[in-house]
Amino acid sequence: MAKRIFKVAALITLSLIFVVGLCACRITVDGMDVTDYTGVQYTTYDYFNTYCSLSCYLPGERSEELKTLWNGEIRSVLEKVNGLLSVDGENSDIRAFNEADAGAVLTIDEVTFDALSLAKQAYEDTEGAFNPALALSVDLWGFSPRFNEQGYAPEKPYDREDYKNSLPEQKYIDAFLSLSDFSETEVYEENGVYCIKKSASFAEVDGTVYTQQLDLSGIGKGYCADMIAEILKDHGFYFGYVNIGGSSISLLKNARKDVGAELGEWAVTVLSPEGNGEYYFEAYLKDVSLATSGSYQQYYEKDGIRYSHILDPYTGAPYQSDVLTASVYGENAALCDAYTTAMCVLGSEKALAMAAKLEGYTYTLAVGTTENYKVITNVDGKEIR
Amino acid sequence: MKKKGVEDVKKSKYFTLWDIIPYFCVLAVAVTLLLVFLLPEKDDISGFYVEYGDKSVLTYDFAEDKFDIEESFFENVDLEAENGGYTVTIITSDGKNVFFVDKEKRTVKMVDADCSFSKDCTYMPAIGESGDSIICVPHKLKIIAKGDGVSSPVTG
Repeated sequence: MAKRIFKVAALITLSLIFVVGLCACRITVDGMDVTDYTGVQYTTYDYFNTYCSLSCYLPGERSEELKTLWNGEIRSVLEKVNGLLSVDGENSDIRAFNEADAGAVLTIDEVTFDALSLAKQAYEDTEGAFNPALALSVDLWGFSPRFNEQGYAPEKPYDREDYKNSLPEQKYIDAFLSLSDFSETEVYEENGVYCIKKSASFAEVDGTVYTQQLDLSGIGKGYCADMIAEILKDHGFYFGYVNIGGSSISLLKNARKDVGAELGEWAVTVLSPEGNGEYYFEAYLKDVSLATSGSYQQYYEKDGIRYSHILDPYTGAPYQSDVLTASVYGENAALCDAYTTAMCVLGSEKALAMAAKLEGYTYTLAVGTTENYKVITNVDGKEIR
Repeated sequence: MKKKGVEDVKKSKYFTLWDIIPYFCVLAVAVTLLLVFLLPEKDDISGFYVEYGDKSVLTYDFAEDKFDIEESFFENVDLEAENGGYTVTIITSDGKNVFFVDKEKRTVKMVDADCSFSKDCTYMPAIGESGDSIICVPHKLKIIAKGDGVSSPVTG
């Protein structure tokens, strides 16, 4: 009798395991059933002088709906934000600011106002280590968009013929640095109109007068990535991510299981500071934004010194610190981008002190030299080098 | 009918081999289902396509090992079979890009570009998961991998 009961019990137990196995066929992420998310869509656009890619998991029957959204509302947002915030766009608010006289007051779009407000917040959070008022210095060192175009030719008084093999003159470095106090520029709303009042400072070098100029390219990418992610969520697309240039990413949820990550999370890989296309870190994240900055892309070397596109607001020259690359994860991609820039500029010691004050933001830093660096992080992830 | 003695009953096992086989089958099916649905998956690409601006330049399918080049780009594309794959050179009015298609690894890697500045695209990792892309912004050239999944994001 006992044997019979035992056999029945064993059969029931195994049947339960079988049923559990069948239940596993339904996959849920944060309460959402993604079993039927068999559709995959991805597309790329060229904006912000880089690429913008969107990737989504979705139920197959919603493919056309997503295509319409991408080619309509999302493309419009990209065009608008890029157009308003680029330094060279025809209708750019930033270009208008850069070309205006010292002390001028300009009306700006709400998008520009929002981005500038974030820039102001980041400037304060980082005590000036992130500074968007370094556009002249960025141009002086050869990192503005015009240097990415074919057939670069010197056109400004401070341009060098071979800008990668000759350094700028100190008088320009000093002059442009004197124009980089972002707190002198005011951003405000008055009777529903958004305005910016340009710093009254100016500097004259060899008879040419220069005024403060802004570059919101980093903030702009993050700002736009977050906007697009919100649009996707508003339309019920919760699985995928928006990636602008690799440096600014807004993550939604993952409908599949990435190696090492929990179901719903993405295994985000971070490029190695060695600049060899390999990875050094993997972070497990969902529903969060992130940004990465570093000295291993967009740089040139002269006499063994690397000059990268990230400018130090305290010297007016490319930063030289022990932080080779920094990634920051948090709710706002624009702020993440600003914080990564600041962390590179500040160096590891001050960067960690700054990060400790940033509520809700985590980070990964590669600190040392390209040949020998250590990883400092407080995010869920692992080294993979 | 012969009755078993007490000793026989004591010696008899709870399970015979024929009892265990169905249990084992049920267990195996359950475990397989769990593995299939819960274990991570890697989405190998089936091929890739190249765009110049908004125009399609070519597509490639790994299974068929076949390039389909748009007629209007015949003069712009050069293919060379070597090292277990293809070296593809695309020259447009914006510049030249060279990428390598590794047939065995099912990856594509940009190996050269003649843009004036940092050649960012040549430092991007080889793409091997669906949705991965390599983009040469100055030359308006995009290589996009095709497949059934979304690749994990790469930041840098």
